[in-house]
Amino acid sequence: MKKNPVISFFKSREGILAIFVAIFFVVLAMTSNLSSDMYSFLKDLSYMIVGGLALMLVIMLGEIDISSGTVLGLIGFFTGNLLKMGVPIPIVVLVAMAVGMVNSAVIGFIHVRFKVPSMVVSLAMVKLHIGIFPLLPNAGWVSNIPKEITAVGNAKVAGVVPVILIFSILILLFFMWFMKYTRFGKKIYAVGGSKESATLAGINAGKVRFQTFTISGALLGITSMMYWLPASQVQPSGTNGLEMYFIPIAVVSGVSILGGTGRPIGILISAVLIAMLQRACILWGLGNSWLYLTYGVVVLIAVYSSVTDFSSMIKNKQTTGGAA
Amino acid sequence: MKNKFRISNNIILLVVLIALIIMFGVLVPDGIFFMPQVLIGTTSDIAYLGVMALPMTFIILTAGIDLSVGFLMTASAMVFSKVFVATENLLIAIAAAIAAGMIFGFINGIIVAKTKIHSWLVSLATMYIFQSVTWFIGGSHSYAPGNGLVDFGTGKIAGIIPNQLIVLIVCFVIFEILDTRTTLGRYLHAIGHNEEAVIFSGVNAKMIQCLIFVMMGVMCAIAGLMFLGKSWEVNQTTALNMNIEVITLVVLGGTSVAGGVGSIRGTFIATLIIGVLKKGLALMGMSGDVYNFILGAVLVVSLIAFAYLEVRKKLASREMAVKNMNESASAE
Repeated sequence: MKKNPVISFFKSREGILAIFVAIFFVVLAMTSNLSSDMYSFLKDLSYMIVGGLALMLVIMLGEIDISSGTVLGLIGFFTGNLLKMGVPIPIVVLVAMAVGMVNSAVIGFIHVRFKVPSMVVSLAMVKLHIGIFPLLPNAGWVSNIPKEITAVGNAKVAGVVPVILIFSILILLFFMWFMKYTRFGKKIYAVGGSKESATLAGINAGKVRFQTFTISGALLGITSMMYWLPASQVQPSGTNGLEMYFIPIAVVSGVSILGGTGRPIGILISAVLIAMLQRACILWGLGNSWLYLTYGVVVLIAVYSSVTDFSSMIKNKQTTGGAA
Repeated sequence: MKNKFRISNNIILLVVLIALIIMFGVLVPDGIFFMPQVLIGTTSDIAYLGVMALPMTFIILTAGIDLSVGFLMTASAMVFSKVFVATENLLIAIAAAIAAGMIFGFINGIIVAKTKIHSWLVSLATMYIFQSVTWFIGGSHSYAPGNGLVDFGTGKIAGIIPNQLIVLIVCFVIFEILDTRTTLGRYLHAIGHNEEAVIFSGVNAKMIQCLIFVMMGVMCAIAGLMFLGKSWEVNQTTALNMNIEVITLVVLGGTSVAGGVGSIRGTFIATLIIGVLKKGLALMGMSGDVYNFILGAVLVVSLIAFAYLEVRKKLASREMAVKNMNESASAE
């Protein structure tokens, strides 16, 4: 009795989501002028995939990083200035990853060492990211980034597909392999599922948490590069609130907020969904009110479904009411 | 043992407050910081945050959190403006705002109580929903309050004590009595320590959780009115990251985010500290960004400090340590 992989995919949460996304895509394409907006849709999609992956790793541990929006602006400030100075792009990407890693490592360190919920730590980081600019030299907007560099960010394949989308798909494929076939990927699932069991099985749960936070920071660095590279100026406050996209992407994809479940392929599908919702609110002219309402309702429904699906598994966890 | 620890906690906060006042008194030129109207006036900028921090202390005591406070406040303040423009009656508008806050808080509370979703995620989702409510009501405009409210909001008794401070103190006294003298207060501490045990001892813990979220909604509506009275208008960006400021007040006041430990008194003193800090920095000519940075640093430092104190406390008392270990084992 070998299961047909195609059928089992469409029976899973990701498959049902994919069908829904496909229907929504057809409706959106028919009722609005999506084809002319395709390039910016795909451009948004590329950074949403990577940002969603970063949040997926963290949420899989039952943690959260609310500062994932504001840190993009901080990274963008550094990378924008470096690009203006003429530093080659690969080095700038490494710097972006380093800055993101440092930021997330701080959250991870405080969380692991002092047993403070990561949610509150990352809230504090939001304020630090907003407030750090007066302390930096020539703070504020970075404008007049050379045309050659924005051209790299805006490079297209076959007319519509941005090069950065190809990079983010590559990163996604890497993480599909990473989560399934490496020891560290398995450890993340184990620690997210049950910290105690993982510790008893010989896994250093604190170390895994810290390292996962650091990897998520590196991904946020790449997200920031993808967000700012096509832009001709960096306005750090522009990314405040981008976690509003990443958290729904992660929870819609089936990452249980209690930790331990989730697959990178789900991130791809839910990133398409969220990017489409955002585009739909623009194309249909609905404005911010409907955008925020949709995200709020989507998060509630997604989390409610993921919590009730696995309710028998997580019963012990829930009734104690500890901070998730 | 425990009682002694809590008192010393608040005394540390008082020492910090006095040290800050002296520091700004020396740093701000001409010693204007020591003038009574400036020193007492520091509270008028922060009172609306303090009013929201009081019920937030209850929520964090039960190991929950509410991220939606800022937009809840804006949404109910906008309801006030809308109703006031329509009816021209201050009392009806205030009643409408408080009713709106109550409904918003009830939405939060009922979802937290009836589903298994943790309150931070519920309030994150409702934060977006309330944000959309502010866009639905307000559009891209900002709304000014009636003159009666502004007269009250900027008014001072005897030219020194701001009305905002009076409101804050009244709310503080009510919540302090609720915290220390009523069954509700004891249940809140108990839920934070071990919710399961509270449920098994026959207390409807879920209803209490719903109740404190409704309280939060009402206090947010009052805070919204205070904010309107102070700064004439609200718009969609008013409340961005306001939840962090409220949570900072609570955490600085010594309330543990793990639940069970904390006091309304601590939150009140923390409110005064942040008020002095905000006003002092403004008088020294620092921008709002510096205040943001310092606020974030204060939150991080107080989180680490209180977590460190918790660890010390655990080591000090073996009995406590065993209990806490059992607790954390069952909570995970």
